[in-house]
Amino acid sequence: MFVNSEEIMTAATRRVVNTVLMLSIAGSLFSTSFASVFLLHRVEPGTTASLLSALLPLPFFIANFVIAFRLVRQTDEMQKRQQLEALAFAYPVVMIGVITLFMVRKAGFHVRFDLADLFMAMTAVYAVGLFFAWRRYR
Amino acid sequence: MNNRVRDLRTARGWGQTDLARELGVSRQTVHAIETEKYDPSLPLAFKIARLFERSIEDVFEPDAEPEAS
Repeated sequence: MFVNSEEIMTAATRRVVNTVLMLSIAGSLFSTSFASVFLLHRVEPGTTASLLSALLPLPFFIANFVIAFRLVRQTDEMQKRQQLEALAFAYPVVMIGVITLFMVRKAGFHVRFDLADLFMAMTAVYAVGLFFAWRRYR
Repeated sequence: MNNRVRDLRTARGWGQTDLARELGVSRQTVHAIETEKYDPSLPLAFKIARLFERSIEDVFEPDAEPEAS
């Protein structure tokens, strides 16, 4: 009646393996990003060494994207909806925030906000959106 | 949409995890369907009906339509 245990184990194991991979790659991504910034302060700009330092985290960014994509593809239809709702929440919230900051800056106030902050803000607001979506169907 | 998924599942002595495995979805999805917080897609609804050897109308029932004024 039920699907065989080997199939279940394979799917479950795949999910665990991908999650562990994602966490270790995220850790490597942070480490190499810090290493990259550290090296960029010490090497001469415009040299091959500075370019290599700048590109150091790139393989981990790509690996992170691939694993995240695989994880999302393994989710079922309701989990996909939750992901979509989280993104639908995160994107406009971050856009409103960024546009507001831009306007405040135009008004002559100094607000520190760069691309790295945008990445962090998107991640944080996406996590909040995911929590709301998870709670909605709980 | 109302449904009888929980009744049909418990009548067979299955847990939510068993049903989730059989349908290829997460236990949370089964729970959300049973508590009517999530309406399954048409393919999943057919899969559920087929699993319980019922017609889709036996398992799922649309909400009563509001009366026309």
